[in-house]
Amino acid sequence: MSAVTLEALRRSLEGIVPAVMATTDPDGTPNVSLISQVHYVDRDHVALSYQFFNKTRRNLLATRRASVVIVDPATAAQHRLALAHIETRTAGPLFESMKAKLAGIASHTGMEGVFRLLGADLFRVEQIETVPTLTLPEPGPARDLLSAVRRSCEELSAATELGELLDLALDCLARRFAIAHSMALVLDQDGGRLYTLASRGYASSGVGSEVALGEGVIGVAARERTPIRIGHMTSEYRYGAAVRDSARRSGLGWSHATEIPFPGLAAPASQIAVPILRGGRTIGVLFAESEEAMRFGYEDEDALALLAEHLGALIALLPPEDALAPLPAPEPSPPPAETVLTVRRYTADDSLFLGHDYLIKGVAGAILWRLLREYAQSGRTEFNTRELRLDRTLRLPEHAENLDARLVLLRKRLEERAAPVRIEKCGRGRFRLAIAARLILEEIGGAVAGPRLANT
Amino acid sequence: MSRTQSPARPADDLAVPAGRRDRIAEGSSLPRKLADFMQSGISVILGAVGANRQPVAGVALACRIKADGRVRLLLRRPANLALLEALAAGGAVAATFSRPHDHRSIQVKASRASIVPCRAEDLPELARQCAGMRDELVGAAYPPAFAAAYVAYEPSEIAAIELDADRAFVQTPGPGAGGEIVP
Repeated sequence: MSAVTLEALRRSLEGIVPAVMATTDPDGTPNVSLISQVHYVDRDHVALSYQFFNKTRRNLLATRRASVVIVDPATAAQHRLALAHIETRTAGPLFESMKAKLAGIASHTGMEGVFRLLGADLFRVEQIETVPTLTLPEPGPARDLLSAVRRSCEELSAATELGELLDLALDCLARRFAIAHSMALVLDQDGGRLYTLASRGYASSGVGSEVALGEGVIGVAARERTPIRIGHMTSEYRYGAAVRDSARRSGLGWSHATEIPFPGLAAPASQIAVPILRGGRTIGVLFAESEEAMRFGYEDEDALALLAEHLGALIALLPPEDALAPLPAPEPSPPPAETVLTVRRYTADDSLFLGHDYLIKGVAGAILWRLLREYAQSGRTEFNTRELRLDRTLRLPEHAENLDARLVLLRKRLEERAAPVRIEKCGRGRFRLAIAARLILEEIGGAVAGPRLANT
Repeated sequence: MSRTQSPARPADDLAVPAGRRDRIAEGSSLPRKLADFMQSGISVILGAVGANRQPVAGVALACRIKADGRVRLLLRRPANLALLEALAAGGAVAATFSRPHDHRSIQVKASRASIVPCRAEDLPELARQCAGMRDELVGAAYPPAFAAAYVAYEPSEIAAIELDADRAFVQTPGPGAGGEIVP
């Protein structure tokens, strides 16, 4: 039995200071190398990433023993772990979790497809020895994360609709966790992409900007359904840089394009992405970043994971917007308008342009087009979510939040564009088109709707 | 935060000329270029094999290479008790030298090592190399206090181990890693 517990050493397992790993071959010839990832599994186990078939790997397969010295990045304390190899896992939660961590390193260093986890080597920790060294004092008291989580959960429980819930979650991150830069993204189940629905702390909100599943820490967290945290971008970036350079010389390329610019920090030092799950499936991602290195530790990950779990439960419990929706009330006449606005729809991807400015595409584009077309044909401005949900032509995925998320996205995009078309809530499950222009609807690649004066 | 502008490549060391003129000494397998690198004030880590074939990892602080090519490693005794015990029992040793700023890494192996006392003339070189490693860590964005603690020692606790490097391998990450530097 060891006096020190592995849990107490999680900070040394951040990958900030490389660990020393010694193995031996059957003849008793040792091998020693620096390793970047010693993964905390539970109080009795760690896992090391198996990426290359090298001497260390051959030794492990032959003798199944390792000695690892880990270093605390804050106090410089060192511990020596005696490890017994149990197995190499090539699937399952541990593998996925380490693969995601490695993929996070890879995506941020442009090493996607180059760094590849071949296996997660699971070890039993047989002994933990404190190496007598000069150590620095423990850093000052950490933030009271437990209290921050509790207060945040209390606040979030008061939210009644998705947009409010996500905005509030980011507010809580700012006020209670001192996290200045954050985003909430929702997964488009059909498109395999996440779109930003709320953000805090950026020059432009980036609402509607997209991240592909598997792209960056956000996309990997969503795909692998596990938190991705980079506590010290520099060290992991540098680790990537060593092999990246060879990969670049081999002619591997990387490109990235989104129509709405992603709002992230230009030079983040730390990032964390935590999936929001429903029934084990990703529905969104809570993301935070900082220019401060080592900003998010294991405890922050624990706290944000709790918050994301609470968010997932609250989203599932949100009453559908149309649950108690009455029929639309008689509509007031919209104000007269002199401005002319041409709304173009490209049928290939349901993308909508206001004049020449791109607005939105996909399901959100299809919803707005449906509303505008109905407005053009009948002058109707009030709608309810129930009718949209029942409209099979919109091909809405199951679960209420999918529609709600699109409506939040539309409302925010229209507001940000200062468009003469707005969507305003006017009661539970009801919303109103506020139109301050004469609209001309054009469909590219389909029938053209007739123009209509806003004040008729 | 800086990152490596030009990481070292395994080929850099695999391409070391094998001519006798580059040897540190007659009969030594160490090219002079490698010997210079090993003594430049960088990371030195150790591996040995103890009782029950249990490997033991350790950390050294400095390296001196004598005129005859024998490698002398300076380490803190209290931090490496099990490792020193394994070497005293006649076990083999591996030592890897890594430079944080460009990842250049070399591993040398010896079938045995002897444990000898630290001598007064070791101390200036120990201090110089520890300062070098400390500066490397600071250059790699580690806090100065951490870097200083990482290389801190009391002269009275320093032991030396001596070995003849039988073989040397490139450990710089990238294609060719693990390749042997042919004597």
